[in-house]
Amino acid sequence: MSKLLIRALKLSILPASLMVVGKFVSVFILIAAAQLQFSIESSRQTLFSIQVYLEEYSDVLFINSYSNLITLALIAIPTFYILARKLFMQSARENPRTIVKLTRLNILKWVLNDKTSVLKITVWTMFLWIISGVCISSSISGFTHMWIGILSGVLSILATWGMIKTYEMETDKIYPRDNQVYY
Amino acid sequence: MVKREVKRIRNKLGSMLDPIAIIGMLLLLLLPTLTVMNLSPRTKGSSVNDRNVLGEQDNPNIGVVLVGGIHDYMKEELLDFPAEGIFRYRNTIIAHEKGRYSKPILQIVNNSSDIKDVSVSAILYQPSNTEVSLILDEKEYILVSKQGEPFTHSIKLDGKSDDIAYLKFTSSNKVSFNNTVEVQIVQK
Repeated sequence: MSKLLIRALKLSILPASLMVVGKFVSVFILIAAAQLQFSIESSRQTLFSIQVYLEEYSDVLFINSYSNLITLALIAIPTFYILARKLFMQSARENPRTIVKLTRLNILKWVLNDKTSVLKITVWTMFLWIISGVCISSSISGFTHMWIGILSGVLSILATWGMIKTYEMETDKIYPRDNQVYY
Repeated sequence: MVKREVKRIRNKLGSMLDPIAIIGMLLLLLLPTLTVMNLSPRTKGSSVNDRNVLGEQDNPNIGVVLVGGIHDYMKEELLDFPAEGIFRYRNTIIAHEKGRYSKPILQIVNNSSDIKDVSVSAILYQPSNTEVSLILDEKEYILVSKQGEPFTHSIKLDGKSDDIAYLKFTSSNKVSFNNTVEVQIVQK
């Protein structure tokens, strides 16, 4: 079996679990915190035939918005952490001034120890696209605040830009540009 | 040689498992998406699209519906809407003996939260020593007196109310001809 596929499968388990667990836990924690009446009933309109129902539309808007925001944060934060580390590392190797700045901030070792692969960045970015898509479609349907949909769109665009930048860095290693040194 | 054979079989199996791995990867992308969407709570009943529609929750007008049914002496019922907020009910009272008769004729619904005012009046096409009254919410409103004099009443409909209006006619002697009564309800 392809090693790339096996690695991709292994890397996908964590973000997939975070999405499901994050949404599940955040929905019920928010319902408990707001002390809302809810019921879990079977429904023919949903894929899994079980649906959580709330009494008021305003409660649905509140729970959906903030549970989507928490799930988005659970995927976006690790994605940007990985991207930042990779981009800082490349910047440090290109520009000595970056090394000075990183040393002053005492994060040089953190950056240089990075072994993040392009595959890991790709997997996390794909999951960020998925959760952004869910937030945006939920906003359009009126079940989530619009600002959360906009925020998720912006985050996914930034992550995509970071991923493309990473690809550029990796391809530049194979096809170096003039006057550039790559490690 | 055995090792080489084992390695060859493993490589073949490996390439056969690749499509399964791809399907697994797609499932790992798809299932969390569907789970997240399914975990989003909903409300029962009307969807969010109904919020901005002036439907049954926010309709400023009252609703009037014909009850229908069979009555021995009230036939050919008709309800029409000459203009917005005006409801006209008509029926034929056929020849009958002296006495009191009533029938549920209209269902009057006020879906708004406010009290609505309506004025109710009636005419009896031919004077026949018959008193016509409307019974609504256990109150009786005489619309046409025995002498044929019409009356108009102003009635308040409570918010979120749903009442049945009864038409009652009282004849102090036998009526040998058919007559027509017309009741008009006007929303103020």
